[in-house]
Amino acid sequence: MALRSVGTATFWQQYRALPEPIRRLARTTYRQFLQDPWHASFHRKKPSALERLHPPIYEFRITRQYRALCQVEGEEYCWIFIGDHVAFDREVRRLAR
Amino acid sequence: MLLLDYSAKKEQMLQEYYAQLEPQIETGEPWSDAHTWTILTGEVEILIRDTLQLYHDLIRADEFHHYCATTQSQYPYAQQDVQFDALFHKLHTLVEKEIALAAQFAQHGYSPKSYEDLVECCRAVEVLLADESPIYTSEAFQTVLQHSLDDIKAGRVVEMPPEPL
Repeated sequence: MALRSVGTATFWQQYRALPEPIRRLARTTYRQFLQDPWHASFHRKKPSALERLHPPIYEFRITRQYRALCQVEGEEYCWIFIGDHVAFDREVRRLAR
Repeated sequence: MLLLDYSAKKEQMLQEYYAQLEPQIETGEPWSDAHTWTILTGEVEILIRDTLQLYHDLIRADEFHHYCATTQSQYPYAQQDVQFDALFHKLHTLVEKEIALAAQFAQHGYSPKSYEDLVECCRAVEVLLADESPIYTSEAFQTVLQHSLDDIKAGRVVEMPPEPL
């Protein structure tokens, strides 16, 4: 079965907000993903904090700082998040203050 | 990889710089000598500035590292990645030591200019090195995630274009 890949509206909004060099890198990473969804550089893993969700969600590394999340069901991939984890963490802490 | 080598050398240089500074602060009474005090505060500022620069250099190098991984089939990703991990760990140790150093200065009435940035840098490296990103357990992330899951339910999804993204 051929790989089917979609992105949610929220995902695309996040993607468009990324700095252009990171968008370029995300595109390169995605091309690699189409050739090999298990490429070592993705550090593909299921975050334990999201384990309750079904279909399962996997994290894919674009860089150490920028990562994407994808809901995977067989050969169907639905991209649900892409973003800067350092900036997100900073914002979470700022809101908590 | 040249960028990684450069950052590794710079980290080593900063560790040596710190090792020279620390005993001067640990021993004696540099606070009572205005001349020594002026020199030391200047040195600490430079140490912190260069450490923050090293963090930014490493982030850029890591981006290039991932670019090479996805564009060059012969790129030794795993081998390089281990070195990046080690360097981020070393940077974290250095930043922690500098935070302690800055606290010592603060006790004597001098707060280094980039102290807040240093604390942010420490946290940033912790996020990058964590086994699992700390954002996933936050309420803010759960809200964002819910929006995306709602998109799926409502059919607000777009096929990836043939020439992706």
